[in-house]
Formats: sequence, structure tokens, C-alpha cells
Amino acid sequence: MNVIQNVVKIKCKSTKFCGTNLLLVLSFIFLTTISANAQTGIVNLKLENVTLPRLFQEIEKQSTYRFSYRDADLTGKEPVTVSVKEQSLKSLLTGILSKRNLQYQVSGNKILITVSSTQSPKSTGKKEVSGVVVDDKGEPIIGANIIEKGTTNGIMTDANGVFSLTVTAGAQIQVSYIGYLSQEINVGNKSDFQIILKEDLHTLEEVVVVGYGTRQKSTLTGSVSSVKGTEIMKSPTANISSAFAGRLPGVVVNSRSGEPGGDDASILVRGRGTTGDSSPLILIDGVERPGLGQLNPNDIESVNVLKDSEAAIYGSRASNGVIVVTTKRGVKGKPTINFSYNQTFAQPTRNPKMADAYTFASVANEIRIREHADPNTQPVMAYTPEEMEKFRVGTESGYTSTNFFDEMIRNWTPQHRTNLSISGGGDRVNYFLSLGELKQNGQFEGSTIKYNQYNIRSNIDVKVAHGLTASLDVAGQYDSRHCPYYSAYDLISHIFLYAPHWQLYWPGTDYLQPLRGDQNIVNMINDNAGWHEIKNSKFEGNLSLKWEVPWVKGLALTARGSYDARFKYWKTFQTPSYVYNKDGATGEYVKRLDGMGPAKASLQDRSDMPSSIYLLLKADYSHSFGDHNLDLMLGYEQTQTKGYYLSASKPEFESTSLPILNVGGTDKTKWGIEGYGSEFARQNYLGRLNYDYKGKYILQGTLRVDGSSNFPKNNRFGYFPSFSAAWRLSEESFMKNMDWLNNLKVRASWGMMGNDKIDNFQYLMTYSYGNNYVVNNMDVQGIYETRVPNPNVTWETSKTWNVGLDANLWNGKLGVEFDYFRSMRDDILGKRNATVPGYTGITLPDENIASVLNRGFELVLTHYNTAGDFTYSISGNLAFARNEVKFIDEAPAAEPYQVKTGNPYGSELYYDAIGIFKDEEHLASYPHLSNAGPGDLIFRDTNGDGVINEKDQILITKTDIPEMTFGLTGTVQYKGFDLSVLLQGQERCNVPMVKGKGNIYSNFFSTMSDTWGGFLQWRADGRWIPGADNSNATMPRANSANANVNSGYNTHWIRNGGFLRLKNLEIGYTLPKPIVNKMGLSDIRISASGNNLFLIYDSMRDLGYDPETNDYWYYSIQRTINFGVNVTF
Amino acid sequence: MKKIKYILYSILSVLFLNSCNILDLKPLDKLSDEDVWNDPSLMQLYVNSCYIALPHGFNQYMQGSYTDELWSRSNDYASQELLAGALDPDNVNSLPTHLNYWGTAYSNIRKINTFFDKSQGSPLSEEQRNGMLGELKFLRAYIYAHLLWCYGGVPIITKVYELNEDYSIPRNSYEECVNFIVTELEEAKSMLPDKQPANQTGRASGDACQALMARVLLYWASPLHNPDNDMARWERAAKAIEKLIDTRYSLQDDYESIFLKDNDEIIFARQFTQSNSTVFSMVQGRSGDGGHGTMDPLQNLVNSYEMKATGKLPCVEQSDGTYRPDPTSGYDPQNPYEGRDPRFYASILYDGSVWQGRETETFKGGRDNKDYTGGGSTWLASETSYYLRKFLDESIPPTGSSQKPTSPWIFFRYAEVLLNYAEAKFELGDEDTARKYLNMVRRRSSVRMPDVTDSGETLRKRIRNERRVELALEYHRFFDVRRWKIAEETEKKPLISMEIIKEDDQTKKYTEVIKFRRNFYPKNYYLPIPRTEVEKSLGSIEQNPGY
Repeated sequence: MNVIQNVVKIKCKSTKFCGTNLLLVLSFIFLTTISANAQTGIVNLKLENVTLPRLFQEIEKQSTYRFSYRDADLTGKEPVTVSVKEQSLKSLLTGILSKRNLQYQVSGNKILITVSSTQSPKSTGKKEVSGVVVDDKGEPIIGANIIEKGTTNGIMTDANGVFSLTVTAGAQIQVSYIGYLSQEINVGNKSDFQIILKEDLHTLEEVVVVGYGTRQKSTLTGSVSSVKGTEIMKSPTANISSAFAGRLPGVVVNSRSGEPGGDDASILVRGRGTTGDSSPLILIDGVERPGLGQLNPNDIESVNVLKDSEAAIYGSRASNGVIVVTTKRGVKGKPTINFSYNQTFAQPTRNPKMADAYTFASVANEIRIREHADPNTQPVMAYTPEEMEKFRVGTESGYTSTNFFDEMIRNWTPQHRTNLSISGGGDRVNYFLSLGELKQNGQFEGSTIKYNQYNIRSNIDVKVAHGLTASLDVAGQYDSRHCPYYSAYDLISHIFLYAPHWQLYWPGTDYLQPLRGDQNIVNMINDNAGWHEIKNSKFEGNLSLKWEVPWVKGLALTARGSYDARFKYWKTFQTPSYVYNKDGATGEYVKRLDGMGPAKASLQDRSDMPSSIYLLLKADYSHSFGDHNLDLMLGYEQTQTKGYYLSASKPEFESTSLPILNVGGTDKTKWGIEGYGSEFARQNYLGRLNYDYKGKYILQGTLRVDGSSNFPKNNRFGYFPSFSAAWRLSEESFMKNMDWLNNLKVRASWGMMGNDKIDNFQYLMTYSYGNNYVVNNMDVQGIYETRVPNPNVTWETSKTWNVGLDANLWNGKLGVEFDYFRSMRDDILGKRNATVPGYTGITLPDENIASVLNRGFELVLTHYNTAGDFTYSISGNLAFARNEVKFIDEAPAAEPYQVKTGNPYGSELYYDAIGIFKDEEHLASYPHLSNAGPGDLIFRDTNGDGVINEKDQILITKTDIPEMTFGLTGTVQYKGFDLSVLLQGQERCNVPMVKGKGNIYSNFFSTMSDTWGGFLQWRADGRWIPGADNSNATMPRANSANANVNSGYNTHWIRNGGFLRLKNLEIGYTLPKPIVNKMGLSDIRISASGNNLFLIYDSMRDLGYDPETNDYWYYSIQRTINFGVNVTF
Repeated sequence: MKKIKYILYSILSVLFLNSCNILDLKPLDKLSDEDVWNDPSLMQLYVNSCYIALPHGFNQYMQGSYTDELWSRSNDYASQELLAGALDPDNVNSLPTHLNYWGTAYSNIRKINTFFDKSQGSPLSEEQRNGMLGELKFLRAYIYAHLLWCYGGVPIITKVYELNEDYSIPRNSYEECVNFIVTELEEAKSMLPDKQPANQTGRASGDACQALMARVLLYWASPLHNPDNDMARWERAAKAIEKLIDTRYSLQDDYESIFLKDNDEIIFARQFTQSNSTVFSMVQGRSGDGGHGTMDPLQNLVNSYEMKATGKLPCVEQSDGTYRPDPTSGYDPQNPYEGRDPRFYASILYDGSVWQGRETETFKGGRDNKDYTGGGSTWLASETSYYLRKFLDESIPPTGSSQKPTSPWIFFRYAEVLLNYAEAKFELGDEDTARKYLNMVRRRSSVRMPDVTDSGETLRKRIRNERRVELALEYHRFFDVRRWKIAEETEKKPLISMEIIKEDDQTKKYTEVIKFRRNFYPKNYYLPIPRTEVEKSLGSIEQNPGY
């Protein structure tokens, strides 16, 4: 107690204190006590007049032993008074129990208490039943309750899980054990039973990982969503981030790309609550680390998402929610060796449906007619009527239709994942060791895209001495990615823009034709035009010591350090590739360089070396007095990260055989060398106090003090408090007799959090090198002011309210979790682009100006039941989050309906397209842009001033981030079979098929032109055609210019992003034990599963796009079919 | 046990060492205020970086595509909006930097103003100080001049704005801007050598200041800004121009090579190196060679090149903007590229002209035509049947070469000085002198066009056409038609392209076709100021009339 007070005093002394004092005190305490000699099984007790259960509780606190008993056996027993020091548990228990007519048995760390003399009264009409109770792994369950239904007649299983009970003939017996699902069995004529109890995953005693610790779900006051590693493994995706979709209520997950090694999903917690960076903080084993998507799913114990003030313990980084990933650890028991292999086949969920050659050629002629400006001449048509007829027939070479997506993208691409893990533990050491391997190929025909990933992990816990545990976690990853020189985006854009009548090869030859860019997609897809080789190595090490201080009951000190280092090596070799021209006169094929690459190869080598050191010192204290339970946690934390980047390049390699930098061109003016460095540090102090009364009234308060090198000295530390409370109504005596109500809890929380993700050193005036000039035909360097500094820059703050309700009725038949939140984000960093005039010349820094209010709810309903051999569950979740910009730097809007303030962030102005101008007459009848004509979109004259200009644009408030997300999971287990289904969807979001304003590629989707390349059939269907009857036209005309009246920001190109899809389906079969055991194994499960199987509804079907994309050129997200086998030795 | 204790204690001590100051970090790859303003060599680097403010012309979207010189195939930068007279305060932001110059200009003005503020008290020698301040004063004057030509009078800002200040400031008048620029240039001129020594070419010189001053004054005297035709302005312009005549510059013999490397005709140019270059060769190259042919010369420009023998324009422009061949000129519509001003051949690639060892084929189905079937990016083919030749280095193919173009972008050259002088003298009524300087340009040894003998309005037209031809594509035409106040006539004319059909008997048929119908309204003499700038000024910046 003394120690705690000391620590508290130091912490309170000053707000600008320095960590070292605290550290030294903590480490001192730590070190002086290591000598205390203690061993398990030795206890110190001083208790007066306590019940036996209380005695057992105290012993549990001091040892790893856990007691099992029937309440009925202990009621009425004489209270215990005991005062012992360093006494062996054995002698203590023998003494106390024998006096009270009880006995005990020890098995592993379980101590089973039973009545000494089990004399079952024998009488007529009774029969004796016996059996063994085991868990689904076949391990005996000790202390399971066996009760004859409707009576008090019962017994517990012994250390071997064996029981024997005399019951009335025809009775039912109930078998139950904490943490497992109860079973009722008709005795019938049978007298020997093998009872398998299944773990109750819905138990209230589920442990949830929160910031810097764990908590029982029943005493949780905040809003936390969890998913178990086993659930994630059901989605056989190479990148695990997309497996969260639909499984974590309140977490918005969108897969934007399926490219191997580049397929991280976008993850947002409770939508977007800021105009700044809205990405959540991701912690892997307590440390902020990148690479969530590349984790080995087999290593994951659980993923917990802290959504409300529960995250406030992470202070300045918590505003966007915190995702806490915990990896598996060994548990005491014999070594378990697990091997799994998953063979997966992947294909795009959808490919764009491109227009055919006849449509393409028709459009070409329509443009010639529509855009012919000279009344004195006739338009020169692109294709003669004879040629058009050939296109229509589509058989003659040069007039055929090719869908290049079908041509260039494989139907099924194999990938696989292998995993081997060993876990177990003994008296002193627990271990979890794993090795994972993943191999993926690219979707393109003849593609050289390859992704290999290897993960190793070793999580080891050593009991060094009594109460002192040391843990060393080491995780390593190596991955290598090979891909062609051109990015997947380049490839897709080329495939998209290839005209349907183009041919890859000159007919009858294997000579590549020069196509778009005088290049050929075949060269781009393989390594002909060059390649990238990206190798990542990663080391993550945690060393932690936890010491349960023997002379301060309930006090545990933890010291933890981690060192993470990553090394990225990136080699890019661009090589010349070749295509063939056909000489018009001679018909000969002439080999030539492609139009995009160099005549001689060039090489670039890059390396990136970030590292970070993390340190945590923490004291946990828990104490109970009477029915009052208290937990206190204090901690200090610091992080230092460093990064170095180096790049060198040389062009003009005479040969492509040696891609190494000491070869290559000798002209030094063409060499390129660059290097950068960066540093960053954080220092944090944290504290948390939990109190509960009888587990009924629960309070929590946290405080975090955060310092960051991102902010100026006088503004460096921020304070982030939070408070929360919960009331478990179901624990109240007036509700105790409501049998159907297992749990009812209401929660409320308030917390202040921050978001410090901004560019470094915005408070300093800095100058960068660059903007070089040329003097006397030689380069001279330049430097320029990076930006105007903002000396007051600080973090965003959010104040978040959350109220929630958890209920469990009829033993899991209905579970309800509901949360409503309201989060006000202030001081959001943004640039005052809209009000600081350009003529000031200021390059704006971020300033803490904006405010956003985010509100929403999450609802989870679960149903869980067992009927005979059937066990099934259904869980549905629905989340809604809508933000509202309260203040942004916005210039006075031209029209009231254009004001962005008060609407969701990301709302954009679009012309409201309301139809197509059929003809000149129609054009004359309605206001239009000065360069609009027949066949162009009609934009609504919103303000009715008779002129169409930017003032008529309306604000579209739906963005590409869905406001509503939902998921529905169903599982069924029957004997060895298990089935799980996940439906996932989203609503209230848009997919704008135009890119950001000012992006010159913004118009390729909406422009329909033979000169610009291929377009969707959807774009062509229903188009306005010159000279035709256009009264039913639904699509604007074709345009030769890329940027035209129809192609810009207007509502015609916005698609609804809502959908519902069968995200995941898995069928598994666990082979019967006897068979497996005969093979000398303990478990075999085979499974088949599919991911992103099909869409139930969406609005992108006609276009051939996956509704999760937010771009019209993208590497499609993948549908995968997976076959897996999992063997446990 | 003691051992463990010591080991752990030392590990922890090492870990926590200096933990107190871990937040006091500095950027590892950036310089601080202190570093820069106490080090003359870093200050020179700061000056170097200010040159990027000058809008050089080696862009994908050249200024000519906003006039009757070039056709922009993609309309990515709102050229069709401008050509149709549909430019407004919203879409003006879509123009490329040289026409949407407002933001770039003022951020560079702030950069230069910052130097003037912070360099006070810096340890600079007199020579260093003069050099740097002179260069920066020239650059700032150039920025203001370019703003002035685009928008008319703009706010003159010489202070360094910080955050949270009152930013309302009115526009200065055109005259105030002219006076400011001239004063600044006079001062800069006194600080700089007339001509930079050979090892400093590329830096601003006294002559660069004089040339800029001359152009600013010539524009100031021009009809758009001088409605009363105040002769004093022409006088002042002529005086300023005179100071550059017969000094350190001379006309190069070979017209084409002026634009490829440094030479005595150049008064001020931006140079390029291998590591500081552009993709100009690729974006403007012929499609048949893998170039992007982004800027296609228009028939309108082609028709402005006179016939070499007669000195007459090949065609007569008709009222609807189309052209009728003028037989007296010697022009043969069936051989349209024969006997033209040599500058035509040096500036434009046409069907049949040899370039990089190959004849250009822009006839339908030809290698550089969009209907070519022999493979290649035919969608990048010229839509006018012409490609750019001026500025392009023949030794650099559009693709495949690691060699990058290093042709200088010329801001001021001697031929412009002579034409400026001819124009000013003509407007002052001195037609003899005007003709003399006009013919000087025409007599360049590689050009040798017949002397102009006209007078009066015809002479004015000849001077203007000479300027159009000699300075074609050099970012003059856009401002010239405006300052001459003839845009309401010239910029309403349709843009014309050429269509060439090669008959079976190998003869070619040439048809001029209207490509695009233009429009021009009086408000278009100036560009609109971006709407956001007017709004952000809270009313202190007035929009140009008509927008």
C-alpha cells in the first residue's frame, strides 16, 4: 500500500514531471523483491471468520490453483479462521477440510472439493448411472455438476471426469460446468454415459482485452466489439483485414483492392468522425505496429475494438477508436502440435462489362457526325457502312470483339497458406510457437505477380520465481513481392481502355502489336517491360516482466520493452520491351521499341529502415474489502521511432542480365541519389481506477497525460480523462428470481480523447531542399520555405458520450447489446484554404480549426441454442454512424444549399443531372451551359436564375464511406459438422465514378470516345445518337474530348454503394475421435469455405463492378474458394 | 539472485537514460531559420529556387492552344471552354499554370518578400546583396507583369503576410502596377550586370530587366490599355526598347536552332539539364513515333506563313473565318506546303516533311494519322494533320531515349526587341523606321523573306503578322490579340484543321475543315479572377467586369 501511495504522490507532484523518477522508483521496487523465495503451493493467509468459498478465493489469489465445488456441499459449514505464513497448501487444506467432513483432490491446477463420505442411499425404483464428462478436446472435466433434474440429488465429477449417481428410473440428469453449455440427458435404459460439454462462447465470464489489461465482460463499462481468431480464420483471405467486415459491429471495413501484397482494407471505427486522418490506432500485443493485414490469422487470439471512452486510456491517439490485437499464448498442458493447410482459388468478384466492337465503331461514327462543325463539308466517317457491317457480323479479323478483361484475367488463381504451431506449458514455462507461410499469385494471364509471406512467432512465458513472470515474444515476418514494372492500376487502366476490336498479336503471328502507348498489355503483364522486387523483413520483440509483489497483496508491477525494426528493400528494373509494326507497303513486320519504356534498362534501388523502441512501466493493484472491489492501474509509457530512407538509380544499362547498381550508365548527370531521415517520440502517463460493489455497481475513471514531439514545447502535454459507469440490474435482489433474465446491464461513459496524426514539426519554420534551377547549363540547388509554421498546433480532441445496454435472456436464447454514441470532435487540424486568400501567398500549415459531430448506434442481437446434437447461433449486427461538420473553413457559399457545414464530411458539389437534351428545341427550352448541345446532360437550374453555372450544383451528402453497415452470422453444429454463414452489407453510401476535381484521369469513365479507348456497355446502352429517335435516351452522347459537358462532377455518374453479400460460408467436419485417435492424432478437421461468394443486391451489377470499390480502375477484390485441413497432434 | 538484480538494473538504467528529453527533436532533413539566414550560400540557394516562378512554356498544354495557333486534343485544361468564351470564375482554375497563374504567382511573391525581410542583417557582402536582391526584384517584377497581362491590375503586395492577419487589400490599377514594375526593374537593373558572365547565364541580368520593362511599356501603350492612344506611352516604350538595340545581341542566322541551345539572340531564357528537364519531346512528338502529339498546330497558323516568293499570304480570310486561296500569292492548294516562309518548315511538321529520318504521314491512314492500321497509339494522332517542330530537338525521339530535352525556354530574344521597336515606331508614325526593323527580322539569313514596303493600316497588319509568324508558339499571341484589342474579331473565327486524302494514284487531296467554332466576348480581354479568391478577400478584391 505504501508503495502505491508513493507512486501516486510522484504522479501528482507536477504536471510537467519527468518520467525518470517514476521509472526509478518502480524499477527499484521491482528489483529488490526478486530475491523473495516463494514457490507455488505456499500460502500466507490471515483470515477471520470467513466462509469456505472466501477462503478458496483468497488461495486462488495467491496461487494458480482453482477450486471446484458444489455450493450445496459447503453450505452450513463452520466458518474458518486461519493465520498462517509460508504454509503448504496441502497441509492447510487437509486440516481445514477434514474438520468439516470434506475432502479434496488435486488435478493440474484444479482442486476439487467433495463430501468425504459419498454414501448414496439405495432404494427401490432407483438405478445407478455413471459416466465420464469431457470437453470437446476430450480432456476430462473435473468438478462438473451432475444433478437429477428436479431434485437436489447430485454429485460432481472427479479428477478423471468420472461420476456415478443413483437416480430414479426414467429421470433426466443435468450436466453443467461453468463456462460450458449445460446438457440435459434422458437416462432411459442406459447406465453408462460419455458426455461431451461444449464451451459456451457466450458466457458472461468472457474476458475482453482492454487498454493495458483485460476485463471480464460482465464488469465492462465501455463499448467494445470483439472477434476471436477462430472467427477470422473462417474467412480464407490472404489479408486478414478484410475478414473483419461484418464481424465487428461499428467497424466499417471496405476492401478496395485485391492485389496480392497491396490489399489492405480500409478500416474505420464508427465511420468518419473528423475531417483529418480518421484511421484508428492499431495495437498488436500492446504496441502500435503496422501490418495488421499481414498477421498470421492462426496467431491471433482475439481482436477487440475499443469504440468509446474505453479507448481514452490511449489519450491523444484514441479518437478514431483503438483496435487491440492479442496473439495466442501457451497454456499449461501437454504440447499441442497443430498443422493446417489451406488451398485457395481466387477470382475477381466482377469484371467490368465492356462495350463490344460494333457498339465501339458505332460510337466512333456518331462522334464524327455530332461534332462535325463545318456545314460546308461532309464529316469523314471513321468506318464505312461496309466496315460497320463487318463489325456487326464480327467474324472477320480486325472486326471481332474481344473482352480484354476476360482475355487478360485468369478465371481461377491459386494461393495457399500453411501453418504449423506448437503450444503447451509446464510448471514454469508456457509457450506458443508458430510458423506460417502464404503464397499468392496475380490474377493476370501470364502474370509474374507473386507474393510470398512467412511469419514466425514465439510467445514464451516463464515463471521465474514465485509471482514473477517473464515473457518474451518474438515475431518475425519476411515477405517478398514480385510484380511487373507497371502497377496493377496501370494494367487495369490499359485493359479498360483497349478498344474491343484490337488484337494483341498481328493475325497469324506471335508478333505483338503496338497498342495503347505503342505498348502491348502482354509486355506489361509479364516482366518484359521490367519488374519490381519488394522485400520486407520485420522483427518485433517484446520483453516483459510481471511481478506480483508478495508483501502487498494485489499489487503487480509490470515492465515491458519492445523493439521493432523493419527493413524494406525495393528494386525496380525497367527494361526495354518490343512490339512490331507492320509496314503498309511491304507487309513486313518490323521490330521496334515500345512507346513507354526506355531504349536501355534503368535500375532503382530503395531501402526504408524504420524502427521503434517502446517502453511501458505499469503498476496494477486490486483490493477487495467486503463487497467493495477496487482496481488501480498506473503507468508510464514512451515510444521513440526513427526512419531512414535511401534511394539510388542509374539509367542506360547496356545489358539486362545484371540488375545491380555498380553496372549501368556512366553519365553521372543521369544518376539519382536520395536520402531522408525522420524522428518522432511520445511520452505518456496513464492511470485507471475501477470500483465495483458486489459486481453490481461499476465505476471506472481514467486519466492519460500525453506528450508528443509533434507539438511545440509549451503545448506538448495533453490531458485526457474519462469516466464510465455500469449497473447490473440483474444482480439486484429484486430481479434475482426472474429466471429468464441472465444478465441485464446498463452502461454510460464519457471520455476525452485526441488525434495527433499530423505532419511533423509544423510548429517550426523549416526549409527543404528542392526547386532546383539551371545556371550555365548546370544544376544549382534551391531551398524553399516548407510552410508557414503554426506555433500553436496541437491535437484534435473529442468528447465522446456512450450509453449502452447488455442483456442476456433465457440462457442465451436472446442476447442484446445496444450502444448509442455521440462524439464531438473539436480542434480538428485543417488548412484554412477557404478563407485565407491565395494572394497572401501563405503555404498553410494545419490549424486546429474544424469541428465534427459524429453520432450513431450499434445493435447486436444474438440467439443461441442447443437442441440435442444441434447447436446453433444467429447473430445480427447493425451499425449506423453519421457525422455532421459543425465548423470547417468554408468560404461563404454561393447558395444556401451548397453550405457544407452542417452536412457529413466529404459531401461534394455536383450538378444535378435530370435528363438528356433530346434535340435543339429541347436545348432551347431549358437553361444550359454555354457549350452544351443536343445529347448532353440537362443540369437542373437549381436556383432558377435561368443560367446554369456552379451555383446550381447541389451538395451530395452521401460519401464513399457507408453510414450504415450490417452483418448476420449464423452457425450450426451437428455432431462433427459445423457450418457458418456470414452475410455482410452496407447502405447509405455512394460510389462516385468520377475522380477528384482536377484529376486529369477523372473523366475516363464518363467519356465515351473511340479516341480515348474502351468504355462500358452500360455507358453505351440508351445513349443519345445523332439522327436517331432520342426521346427515350438515358445516357448522354459520345464525346471526342475527354473533358466535356457530360464528364465532370454530376449526379449522373454517382452509383449507390449499398449492397448485401454472402461474405463468407464455411462447412467443416471434425473426424470422430476414435478414428482420429487410431491414427495417433488428436484432432482432424477438414473444411471448405468461400469468401465474397456472391452479391444478394447492389447497384453495380450492370457495370460489372464490385460495389466496395471507390475507383473505376482497380484490381478487383477477390472471390475465394478454399479447402483446408487442420490436424492436431 | 544478486546477479539477476544487477543485470536487470543495468538494462533498465540504459533504457531510461535521457528519457527526459526524448520529445525535444529536430527535423533530420530540413533546415531551420537560423541555418538559412546566416549563411550566404544557403541564401543563394533560396534565390535559385525562386526562378521556378517563371512560367516556362515546355508544358503539355501550351498557351498556343488557347489561341488560333494550336489545337488541344484532350481539352483536359479547359481550352475549349476558353475558346468558346465560356470561361468563368469557376472553371478558370482548370487552366494550366501559365494562365491560372494567380496562386503560383502570389506564393512566389511571398517567397521573395520573405527574402527581403529576413535577409536584412544577414552577413552578405555588397556584391552578394546586390546580386541576390537584383535577381529577386527582376523575378518579382516578372511575376507582377505576367499577372498584369492575365488579369489587369492586381494587388501589389510587398509585405509578408502571417497567419491571422487582416488580409483585405484592394486591387491596384493597371497604371500603378506598371509604375511599380518599372521602378523595381530600374532598381534591379542598377544592381545587376547588363549581361551575366558566361558562367552565370540563366540568371537575371540588367538586359533582362530592360527587356521586361520594354514589353510592359509596349503593352501599356497598346490599344486595350491606351484607349486615348496617348503617344507619350508609345514614346516611353520606344525609349525603353532602344536601349537594347545594337548592344550585346544579334539575330542568329539559323532560325530553327535559336530554340535549341544558348546563343547570342537570347536575352533571357530558362535553361534545362538532364536532371532538370521536361517530357516535352514525348508529349509533343508524332504519334507514329510514340509521341503524344498533344498540341496540334492549326491551319489558321499555317495560313499565316507567307509565300516566300511573293511575300503574300497564301489565302484570303473570308468573313466566316474560312480561307480562300489567293492565286496572286503563288499558292497552290494542291501543293499547299510548297514555297512558304522558311520559318514554316522550321516550326511545323506537315504531311511530307522529313523528321528524324522519316517523312511525316498525316494523310488518312498514314503513319501519323489516327486511321493508321500498322499499329501504334493512333488515338494520339494529330487532329489537324500537323505536329509541332519548333523547340523540339530532332536527336531526341519521343520515347525510348534516356536523353532529355535541354532546349532553353526563351523569355526575351532580340527578334522580339526589333519587332517591338517596329511596332512602337509605327504607332508613333515613323513608318520608315518601322519598316527598317521589320525587314531586319525578315532578312535573317535562313529566312530572307521579301522586304515589306507597305504603309498605313496594311503595314500595321504586316507588323502584326510578322510578330505572329516570327514569335509563333512563344506565348505572345494570346496577349497580343488582346492588347491590340482585335480579339473580338480574330478570336471569334473558327479553328481550322486539314484533312488529307491520299488517292489511289498517290495524289493527295487537301480539304480545310472547321474544327471548332469559337466565341469571344468583351469580358474575355481579361481572365476572370478565381471566384474563391474574390470570396476570400471578403469583398476587397473586385472581379473583372462581365464575370
